[in-house]
Amino acid sequence: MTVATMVTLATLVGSGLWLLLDEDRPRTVLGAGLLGHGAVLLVTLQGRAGDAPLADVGTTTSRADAVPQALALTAIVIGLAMAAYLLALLRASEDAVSGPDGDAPTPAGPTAAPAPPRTDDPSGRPRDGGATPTPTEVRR
Amino acid sequence: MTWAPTLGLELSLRSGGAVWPLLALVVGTAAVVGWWSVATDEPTGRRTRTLLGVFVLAMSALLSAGDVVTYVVAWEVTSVISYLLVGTRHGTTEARSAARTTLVVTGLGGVALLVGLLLVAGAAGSTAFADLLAASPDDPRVVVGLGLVVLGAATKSAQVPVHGWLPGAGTAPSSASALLHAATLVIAGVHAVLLVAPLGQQVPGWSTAVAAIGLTTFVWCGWAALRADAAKRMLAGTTSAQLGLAFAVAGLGTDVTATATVALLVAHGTYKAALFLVVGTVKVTGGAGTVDELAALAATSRPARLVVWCGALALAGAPPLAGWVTKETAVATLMDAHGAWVVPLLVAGAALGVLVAARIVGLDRLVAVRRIGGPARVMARTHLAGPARRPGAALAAPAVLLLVTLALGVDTGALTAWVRPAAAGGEIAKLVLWPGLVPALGVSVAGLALGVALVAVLPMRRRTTPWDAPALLARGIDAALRGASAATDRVHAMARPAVVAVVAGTSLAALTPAVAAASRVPDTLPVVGSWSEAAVAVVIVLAVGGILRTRHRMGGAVLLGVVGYGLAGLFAVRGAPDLVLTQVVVETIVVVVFVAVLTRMAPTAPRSTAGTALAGSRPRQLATSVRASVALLGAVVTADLAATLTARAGQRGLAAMADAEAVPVGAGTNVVNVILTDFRALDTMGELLVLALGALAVLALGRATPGPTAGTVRPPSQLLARTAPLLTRIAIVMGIHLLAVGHDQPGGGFVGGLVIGAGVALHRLATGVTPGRPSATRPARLLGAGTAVVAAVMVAPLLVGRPLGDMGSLTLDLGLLGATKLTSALALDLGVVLVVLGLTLAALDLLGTDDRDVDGPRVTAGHADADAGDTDTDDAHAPGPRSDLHLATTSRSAR
Repeated sequence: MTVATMVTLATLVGSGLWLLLDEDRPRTVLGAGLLGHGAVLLVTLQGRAGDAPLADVGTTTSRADAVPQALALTAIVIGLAMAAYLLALLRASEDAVSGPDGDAPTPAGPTAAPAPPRTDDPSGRPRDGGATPTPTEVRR
Repeated sequence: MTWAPTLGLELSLRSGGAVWPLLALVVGTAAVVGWWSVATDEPTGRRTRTLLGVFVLAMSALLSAGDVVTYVVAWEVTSVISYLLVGTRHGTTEARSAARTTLVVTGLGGVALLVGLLLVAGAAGSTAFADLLAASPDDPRVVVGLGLVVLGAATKSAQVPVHGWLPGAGTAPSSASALLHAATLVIAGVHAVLLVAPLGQQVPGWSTAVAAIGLTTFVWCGWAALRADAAKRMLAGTTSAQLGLAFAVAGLGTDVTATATVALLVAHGTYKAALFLVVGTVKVTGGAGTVDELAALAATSRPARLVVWCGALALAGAPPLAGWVTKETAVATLMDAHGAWVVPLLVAGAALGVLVAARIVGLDRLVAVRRIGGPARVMARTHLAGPARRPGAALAAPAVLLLVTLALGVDTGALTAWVRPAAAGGEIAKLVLWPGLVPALGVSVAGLALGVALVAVLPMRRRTTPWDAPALLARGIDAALRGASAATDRVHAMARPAVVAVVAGTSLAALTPAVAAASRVPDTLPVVGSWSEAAVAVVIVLAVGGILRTRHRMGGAVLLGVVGYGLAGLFAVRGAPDLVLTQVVVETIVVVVFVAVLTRMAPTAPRSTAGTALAGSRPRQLATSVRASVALLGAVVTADLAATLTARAGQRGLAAMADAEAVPVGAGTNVVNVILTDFRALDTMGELLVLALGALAVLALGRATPGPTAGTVRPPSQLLARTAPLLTRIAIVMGIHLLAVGHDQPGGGFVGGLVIGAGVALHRLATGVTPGRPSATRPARLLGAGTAVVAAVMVAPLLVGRPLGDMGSLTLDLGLLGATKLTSALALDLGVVLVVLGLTLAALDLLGTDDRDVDGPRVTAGHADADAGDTDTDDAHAPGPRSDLHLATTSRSAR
């Protein structure tokens, strides 16, 4: 590890946390992404750097540690799942706040948004299924 | 088979005791029920039959389990399948509520059973059933444990006071009701009592308590059955009642009573499954499934009348059916063991059985009609709502089951032979048609006579009762959910940033002392390792700075991508080609999806709105000092942690081991891939499950919100539209190549799946459609298939006596093509590809098009309609989360 990578790591984590605490939802997603990058970097920094960990490349002592890389690899892909989930949540909440068109700028964070009526509809179906014109109709 | 030998866990099966008689019942009933389901082309039949197949496996494992752990696992599997089947028509509130009740009650019962059995096992010093019975009956752990076992068993066999789930379980498909809720699943409770009874009967009062529970149920649920209106509710009541009798007998714990119990279960299972199939026949021919319709069915034809009457007589316990023989034996056994107090209960329960049977054939109505002087038969034909179509061959399956009941009653020798193994060589119960003039006969005859007499005089049609147990139970569960909801509202009343700050701040504060105490500085800490590393670090830091500064949302997303690519550069510098590949593809997908989502939003983030809040609410933007201190603390703690861990990473035993053993043990030269698919394959499987769950959540969220719009897809560029198919094919070939070589060279399942997914994404972006058949690219199916492949690869070694997840390799000489190495790690990686592809496609759902919506008018249909249509089809999508997630988003945005 070097000072440069350490600073990079600290920057990623610090900025990630800062953005995570933002009121703007897309920025919290950015923050979560940076935090994820930081976590992956933290894991990879544990191993020794070197040649690619392929048994036919270099020597046992010149190759990089493979264990942190294996851990980081699945972490990256899980990061993708996490990002997809957050983005799905972002889209869903955006639709819930401003309607599926999403053209209306959101005035503020979640609390200031006009609260949609809480339905106690036991069927649990999306409440704006039938009556609301669907976006395609609007666009026509 | 050993599972985790260090913990003494193993998968052990046995074949003694009541295993064979009950297995025969399970498999035989399942065969007939499956035949009926196919013959009648039952709605949702394919899904149901699949689940029933899994259920038969689980039930077989349950019956033949040789130790506590195997037993409890199988028990839980049967509970979950019951839940899924009860919730088959999850579009209706009724089915959802019934399924939830089923899961809560049997789930809690499973916990009671587990704790109880573990307590007894602790006293016995072994989890094997063979040793369990050797525990001392004076040990308090045994006494408490056996009580808990009875509680767990009572939930499964629907005994008072935890019987409330069974009546509602009639929302399951009829074939499932016949197999699970009449013949097999519900006998698991009685079976559990049978298992521990030899020990339990040595505990003072245990047998009496079990008998009290069983006989109370015998009467109480018989009464409930009488008052039910829906045929399935009525049958469920009688099932509880009959199992109550078996429960009481099983608690006596001798060889004689074990055989008597098994005989009861066999007789009950056959005729009750038949009756459920009769109700199912009414339903598939267009009826609603009321009790009256059964009588109407009987009036349609001679064979139908024969079947219905035969079923009713079996239910009433009339000779010469097996129900009579077994009840007779049970009554005699109970009277011998418990004396006079059981007599009134037995008489009352038997009489109630007769009354219910009379309702099935419509006798009660006929009596009422005859009293006012009308022609009974005509009334039955015209006034009872009959099935819309003729039942025809659908009654053949129940007829077979009823023939078995009849045969076992007439030829009691066959019944005796069936149940004999349950006695393990000891004395067995006397099963005869005519027991002689004994007190037990008096009780049976008294019950029958009382029932017949009551049929004539009792008006039997009052339906509502304040003591309706299922309703009480449902109300209790609802109240608990409301309470949880209210508590969450109370705790989560803060704005989101504040909640996140509390969580993050608390975690960091808890972490700080530990990190500080262990803090160490590496011996050597150069400023930069190489110039390329320094350059990449500068790029990353600059990009992060850009993200912090800009309020432009798209710009932020693109800069996030820059950070990701920079990270890939760092990986390259440090010698991690696999990470570079994966990171680049992941980052690309994330940026594309992020940008697509942002097109639906305003281009810039609004300036802080503190102060413009609605009256009465707090400002949402956190104070800068709070944000800065959390962020700074996080940065410092992480950097310190990294330094400490590096300083301590002196011994590299694990890495050296992986490096040295990759080729000899893992048969691959790519050490990273060997670790993933071989050394820690079990972890990889767990991570894939996380991925699959995440992808399912994305899909569910996409479905819970208003439909995706065609507006977010721009008109495709002609150039792109023409080249995309080619590029997609190249991507697919590349992905397969990466998968194939991954064990030896950089690549593997994760990046292979991502590359294929990116190719598909490109195709969709360019042309608006997903290549391939829609069903083959349904994310949920890919996720399921991938998880199944991985699970199969993990479990396969067990079948050849190797440990779980053991990997093997095989070199094939293909002549001219040269030698080809096949490894089971490759198969595992194939599963990885499928799951990752499913995840990628799920993420692409967020792009704004949905492959089901592209080419049809359903784009405008609105999702409520699509949902309603989905519920009745054989859909592979996860049924549960949709509504819950929707509620979650609603409440999120509500505050």
